[in-house]
Amino acid sequence: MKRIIHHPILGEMEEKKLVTIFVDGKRIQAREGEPIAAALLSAGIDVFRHTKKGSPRSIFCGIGQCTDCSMIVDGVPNVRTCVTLVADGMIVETQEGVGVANL
Amino acid sequence: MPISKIVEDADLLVVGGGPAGLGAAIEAGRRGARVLVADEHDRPGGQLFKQIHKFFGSHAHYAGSRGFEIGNRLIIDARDAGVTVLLSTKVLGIFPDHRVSLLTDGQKVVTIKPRALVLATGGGERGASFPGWTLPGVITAGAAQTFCNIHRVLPGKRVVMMGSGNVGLIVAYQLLQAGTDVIALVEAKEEIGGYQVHGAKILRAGVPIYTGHTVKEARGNTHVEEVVIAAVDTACNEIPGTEKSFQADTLCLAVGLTSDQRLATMAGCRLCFSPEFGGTIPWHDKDLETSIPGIFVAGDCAGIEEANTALDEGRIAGIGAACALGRISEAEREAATAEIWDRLNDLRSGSFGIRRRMGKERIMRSGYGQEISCSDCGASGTVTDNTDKVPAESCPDSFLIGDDHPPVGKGKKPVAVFYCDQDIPCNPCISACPVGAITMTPSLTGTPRLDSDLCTGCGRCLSVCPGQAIVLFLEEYGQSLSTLTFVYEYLPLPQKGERVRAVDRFGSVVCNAEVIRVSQTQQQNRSPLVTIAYDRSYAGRVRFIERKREEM
Repeated sequence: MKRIIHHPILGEMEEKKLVTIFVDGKRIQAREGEPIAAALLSAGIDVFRHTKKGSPRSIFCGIGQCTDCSMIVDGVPNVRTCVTLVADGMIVETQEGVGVANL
Repeated sequence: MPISKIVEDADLLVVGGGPAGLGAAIEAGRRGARVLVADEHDRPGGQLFKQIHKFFGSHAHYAGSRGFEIGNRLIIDARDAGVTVLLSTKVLGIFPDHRVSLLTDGQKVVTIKPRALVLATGGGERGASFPGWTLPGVITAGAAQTFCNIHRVLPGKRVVMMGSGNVGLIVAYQLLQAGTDVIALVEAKEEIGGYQVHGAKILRAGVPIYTGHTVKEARGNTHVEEVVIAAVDTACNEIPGTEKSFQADTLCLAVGLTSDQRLATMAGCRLCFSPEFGGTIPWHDKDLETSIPGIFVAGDCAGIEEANTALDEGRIAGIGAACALGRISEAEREAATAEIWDRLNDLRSGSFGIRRRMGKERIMRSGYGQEISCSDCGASGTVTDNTDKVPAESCPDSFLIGDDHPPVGKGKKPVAVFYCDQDIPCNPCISACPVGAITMTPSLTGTPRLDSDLCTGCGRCLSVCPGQAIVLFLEEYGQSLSTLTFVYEYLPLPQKGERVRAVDRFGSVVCNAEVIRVSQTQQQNRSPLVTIAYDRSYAGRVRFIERKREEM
């Protein structure tokens, strides 16, 4: 998906420092202070986890009310990526089922 | 952060830092209470920061301001009132003696015992179930708004919106503003659910609204690729053979919200059922106090409405809490809340609000133990009050009136034309008019009347109108042309001298036109005015111009 650089009401997108996160081993640039889900969607990644039966899930509510966007973040499963902000060097993994802690 | 010290000092804990919670905190803080606000997010303001449209209401409701501007104002007011806001803080539980456990920064658990509590936990969006609804690409309208307006990521390129309440209409418009193609809006009822002015905005942008239709299926492998809709009968059963298919990557659900009453339930507050307010909500009295003394509710948690009413309910709850804490007397509480109740009653009037006003009164009147059921809801959606309709001749192009209407205007003088014939509580156009040409009777939900002899055609009412329901029309511009001036909130802005295609209110091309003026001032608050000239024979039919689109 695309970043919204120009906006008629909000103006130009603010410059932010870029950080690097690793998603299933792939290196991705993210804007500092944004949620993991925003970085993933703008990098074109839209399957965040699979249920036990293998059905794909992505963001749904976007404000931490549901758990559809859960992923394994720095070894911790079931982290809601829509309300968890990126940090430099963060390791994000697609979650299968309820996930396995890898601390 | 020395959290434990702060919390030991708190008289009042407010859960939720949205408009209701901040409203409560500000009022209690101003009355000397030591107030702590706990919010699970990383900044206060709740959902206000994704509300980039101008609000309805009166001056006291910040009408004409955009949601995020109101959010910034509330944060400053809260700071000035000495309120402490704890961010990234979740409430884990409430115990019977009002002890509350908080988890801050995902690490530290603190248990505190405030003397009063305001629960302003908001609401959650409903889902809708149909084959494929769990596919990536099916998201709530609120999620689309969050990603577009806060995180600045387009949630999709081609979007179908399900639901035509104000949320569906407003988010569809904001998706267009962000640069997404909204290809259809689907509504099961025969009429759109939200304000006509919001519907009119997206219709003239060329988005079709399929009323009497529902989403049958979302199809795709690992992501939405196709959305199938079907017509429904009055009982909402799909009519076979009426399916239509759209190639879309995103399906937004705007199918209503429910109160988040989990903490109120945990605290033992009595619940009641209210069809007007989204289902089960905590019972409360006119001070927003629940069945448990000292525990107040406000905002969507106390019944689904919108940010303006949430703010006012929060203020009442905060004043009630200050009284419960002994900071003000009963008489002072009565006096302070009476004015806010008047404002709330203004907002809950007109054909949209009256049902909610009656619903609230029914909840507040009923004591505990008295069951409230859907069947005793005496109000219906058709009840109106104060509907003082504009005479038809000054309202020529209403969303609901047919195509055939005569051109309006006063020859060589530009005049404002109002497309506002719905009893929405709103009046910024009146205060914006420098010559007093606009009046409204008898209340906030009246519709504006224009004295066209007084109107100077200055256009100030255009940019301040939250519904973008006013245009300027000049019938005689040179020999054979007419001009139309309207608000244009998309990018890129057309330029003076540019040839454009004028469209009618359904987005269909009417004729060619030339942009003769683009006005963008600070006073317009990012609602620029565009003036086009076109052949007079099309006067009256022209409402807008075709949007320029950037290549995706």
